[in-house]
Amino acid sequence: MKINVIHDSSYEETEVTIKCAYVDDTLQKIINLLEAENFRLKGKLEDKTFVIPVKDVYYIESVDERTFIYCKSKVYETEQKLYQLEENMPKSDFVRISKSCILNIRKLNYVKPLLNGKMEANLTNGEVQIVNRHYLKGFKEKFGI
Amino acid sequence: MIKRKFSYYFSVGTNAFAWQTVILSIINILFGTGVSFNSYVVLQCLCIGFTIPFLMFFTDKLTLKTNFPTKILVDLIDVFLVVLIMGGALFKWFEFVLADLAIVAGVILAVYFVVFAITIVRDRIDSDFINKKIKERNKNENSH
Repeated sequence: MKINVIHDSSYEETEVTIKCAYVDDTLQKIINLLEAENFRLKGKLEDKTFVIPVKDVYYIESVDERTFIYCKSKVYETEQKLYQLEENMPKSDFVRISKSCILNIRKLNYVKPLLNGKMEANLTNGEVQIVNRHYLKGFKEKFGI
Repeated sequence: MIKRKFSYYFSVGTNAFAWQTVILSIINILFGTGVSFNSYVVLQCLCIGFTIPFLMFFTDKLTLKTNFPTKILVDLIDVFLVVLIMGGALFKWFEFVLADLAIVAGVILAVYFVVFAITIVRDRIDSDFINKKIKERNKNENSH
């Protein structure tokens, strides 16, 4: 793989172009990483709007028709609906785990199966989310199962 | 969402059909029930195997906020109802006498808990695999 980086102060915006014959697994990982780094969310906290890097997001939850972005210790509200975020979020890191929640699998600490066919997802900030059994297949596919 | 639920219940139905057929075959061999496993019986098993998860799809909505033992009880009631109505009344697999009903109850419990146990074991294996992947990823990220 040849890597070319062209420094030129006349460029107003950084642009990444990948030339390839086909997209293999390694290349797809690079593309996913770039998409994740590039993606930003907007969220409100105490009447202020913040730009949230997607790598800081633990999970996104919809409650009473309002959508909240959960980071390590802060919670932001966004105007976007959950399904809109699900369409736009980097597919590599985020997965729907229930009707009202999208989880960042990079923030997982460990998982534990439950007797009722669901799975408990323990996050690195100590929080716990439940993977609903209807979404378990999609969740497992993120790990190659 | 409907596609996901359909996929889940389809999986439950095929598992139930497979194990139901195996257990009935074993009972047939051991106790000589006289049920010959012809194509009609296989299709009847298939009908029952898929009617049960179809009914569970609706009763799941009723038990959404109840505890787990209640959910198992409702599931077993679903199975008993379908087997009694379809297997007993419709397909005439058994007579409605105590001895036959006891065997039917035994088969139902055996199939239900075999499918349940397989799900538990599979989820345990999968969760161990996922945890291993998480550890590897964390190790890679820390080494950078």
